[in-house]
Amino acid sequence: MRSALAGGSDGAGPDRTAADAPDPRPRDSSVPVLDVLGELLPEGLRRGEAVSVLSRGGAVDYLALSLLAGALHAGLWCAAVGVAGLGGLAVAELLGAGADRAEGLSRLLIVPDPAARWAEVASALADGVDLLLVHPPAHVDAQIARRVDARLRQGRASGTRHSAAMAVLGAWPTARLTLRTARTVWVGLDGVGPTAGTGHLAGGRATVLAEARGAGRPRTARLWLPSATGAAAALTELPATARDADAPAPGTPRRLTAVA
Amino acid sequence: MPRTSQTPHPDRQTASRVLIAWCPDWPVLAVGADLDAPAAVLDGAGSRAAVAACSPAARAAGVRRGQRVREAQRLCPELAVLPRDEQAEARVFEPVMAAAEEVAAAVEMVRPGLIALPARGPARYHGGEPVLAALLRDRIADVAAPSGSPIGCGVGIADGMFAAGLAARRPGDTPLVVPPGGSPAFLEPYPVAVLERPELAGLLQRLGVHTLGAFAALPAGDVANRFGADGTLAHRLARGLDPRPPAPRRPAEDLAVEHAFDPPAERDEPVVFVAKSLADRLHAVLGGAGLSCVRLHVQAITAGGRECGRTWRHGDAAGGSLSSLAVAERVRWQLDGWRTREAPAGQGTDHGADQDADPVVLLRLVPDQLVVDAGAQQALWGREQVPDRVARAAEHVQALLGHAGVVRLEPVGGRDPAERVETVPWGDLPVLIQGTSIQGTSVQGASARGRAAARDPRAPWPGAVPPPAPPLVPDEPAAAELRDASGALLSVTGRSRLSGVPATLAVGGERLAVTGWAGPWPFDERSWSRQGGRRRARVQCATGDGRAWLLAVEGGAWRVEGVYQ
Repeated sequence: MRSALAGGSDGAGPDRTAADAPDPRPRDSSVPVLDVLGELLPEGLRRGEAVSVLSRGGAVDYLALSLLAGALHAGLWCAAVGVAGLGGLAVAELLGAGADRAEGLSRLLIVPDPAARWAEVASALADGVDLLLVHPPAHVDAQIARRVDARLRQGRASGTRHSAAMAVLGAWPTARLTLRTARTVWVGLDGVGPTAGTGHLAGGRATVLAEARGAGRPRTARLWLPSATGAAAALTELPATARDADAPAPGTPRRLTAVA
Repeated sequence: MPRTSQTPHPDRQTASRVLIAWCPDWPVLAVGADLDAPAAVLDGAGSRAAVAACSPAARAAGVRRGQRVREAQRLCPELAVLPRDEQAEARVFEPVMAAAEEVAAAVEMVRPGLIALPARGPARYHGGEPVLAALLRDRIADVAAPSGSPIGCGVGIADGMFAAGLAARRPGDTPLVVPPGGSPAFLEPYPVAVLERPELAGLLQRLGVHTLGAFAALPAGDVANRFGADGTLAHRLARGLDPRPPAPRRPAEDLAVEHAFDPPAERDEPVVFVAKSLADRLHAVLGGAGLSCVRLHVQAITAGGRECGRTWRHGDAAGGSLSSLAVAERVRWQLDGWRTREAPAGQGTDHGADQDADPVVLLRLVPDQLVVDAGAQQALWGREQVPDRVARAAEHVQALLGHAGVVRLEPVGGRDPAERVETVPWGDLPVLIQGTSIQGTSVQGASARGRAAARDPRAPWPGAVPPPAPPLVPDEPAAAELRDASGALLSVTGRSRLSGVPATLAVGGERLAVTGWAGPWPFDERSWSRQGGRRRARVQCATGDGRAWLLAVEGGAWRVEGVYQ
């Protein structure tokens, strides 16, 4: 596996899973996630396996994008297959500011409309990229799911080939892990009385659940997803976000209160 | 020609007899324009579009190749301007190739509109070079152009491609045959500009060398010292020699590469995809042998036992070889053209069910006319940073879904969340890089590119939606209705206030309670423009189901521009 990765000119970047949890396997055998999700997914996303991201109506949400951002931030390549309405700007903001942003964004391949060939496309991309975000049609044929799974595992089993991790928007028959955002409390839109209608959306406090199949209680994490800058942040960073919520950043459209 | 005598093998320096047939203004003909009316075909995009070819009528009005479109339209106001369609050029040329192949074997397409063939054998068969030239011209004239008129072409025979090309371009009714050994004398009066090296030509003219004859008279060694490898090539051309030294004999081993399709490829995309990897393999094989080929023979055999073969020039006449992408493109053209020819009358070029009838079982690339590789660079812009496996996977998907099937995102400036990211098909140049573009032949694409070029993400964009950006940006903004507690649809007043307090949001058949809201923020875009100007207002609201919404109202209608979830 390591040799396959080393073939790429910009293979695995800084790997933060090793710091979070001792891992007996080679360091690059999993796809890293953002720091703030480290508690929830201590070993990152395992290559050759699918995780299911349950969102409302199978539509893309901050959680799914934060998985992409984690891999992109680590210098890996990602692909999104059939994800309608993917907000590229939200991915960019999750990546943080600076040169990292444009560079990370350019490592994301998007197949906007694979239609009926989504499984074929996902299999082809699994040979190239490190993390796939797939939005399959409503009813996934079990046989097709097995075929995609086999393609994911293939690289892992032979050990020499490249292998990708996959995040599926919606249910997936073999997913060992299910992620979802239980609830998000939006900050910045909560004016009442005379202040109603002032301000702007300044972040959301999200409760994220990770449910492993067959393992009792789901793990939960509470974090800013998104924070006032659009990135993901720990809840302890409250002062900065709270201040931002009160005083809009420069360039923020202000409410036009009176026109003389 | 005093200098040829000093070379040790004078006989090996003479070029072989070549026949060139040239259909003038082919790009114009291929798009179906009438040659009698002023028309021009454009290359490039936007204000950088330049005339790639024009009809004789336009030329009479002063339109020239390489002119900016504005300049051309100034000279000829009634000029019809058409985008270039290279695929159509290859496809429409197919009948001409077929006609030429009836006259002689080993016909080579230099590019659509230009045919080269070795003249010696066919001339002997048909009874002389003038006979061969006249026969070929008549056969090509029998083929009808898309506009219905016969195809006129110039035919010339001479020693070497260069002289034959000039002979074919010589105006006149009868084909011009330059006698063997007569090429230097034939070339002598031509101006140095015909070498198609503007820099070299300019330099030579400043040095007082105005004709090919004068240039040819310079000692070869001095030319090499002063003008380098390219100058040496040009000098060889001017002396009536082939641009490369004569090719060595073909080595004994077989350097052809092939791929058998099992199961047979029913669509053309997989064939083109394989062609690319085959081309890579061929380059590797040739590279290992230290060779490069001048021409490439592409052969496809179908399950029905039919064969489609065509020889393509491998790169330009003066050296350089085709990239594997370019080889795949030529395979696509060839299959396109062939399918069209096999299924005439109406079936067209669509990759439809009619291809299933005869799937391709074998694709073979045969290098032809091998020469010692003098070194050429093969690099595609921006590909160095992309790992091979990613590029392969992306190109595989492109072979499945088409060029625009895989896109990358690029941040650009703008106010809407949807506007601030541009999608660029894999392999294309980023939008923000101005100048030469690979795509952008269509007028629409050109204007979009022009607009995008002005969208610097670092510029201030007052009125932009502040972060965080919504993760879901509907491709087609969904209709929504924002109502107050009494059920009245809200609007934005002239003083930029909401007409009431938002209470419910109806979207996609759901009725949601509004728990918090902000806005409205009016924004006028391009208020100075009659067409592009838009007056809108945005509202953010959170609803009881845990989602937040970015809504826009324009002309009384609410739309969902983004969903935060």
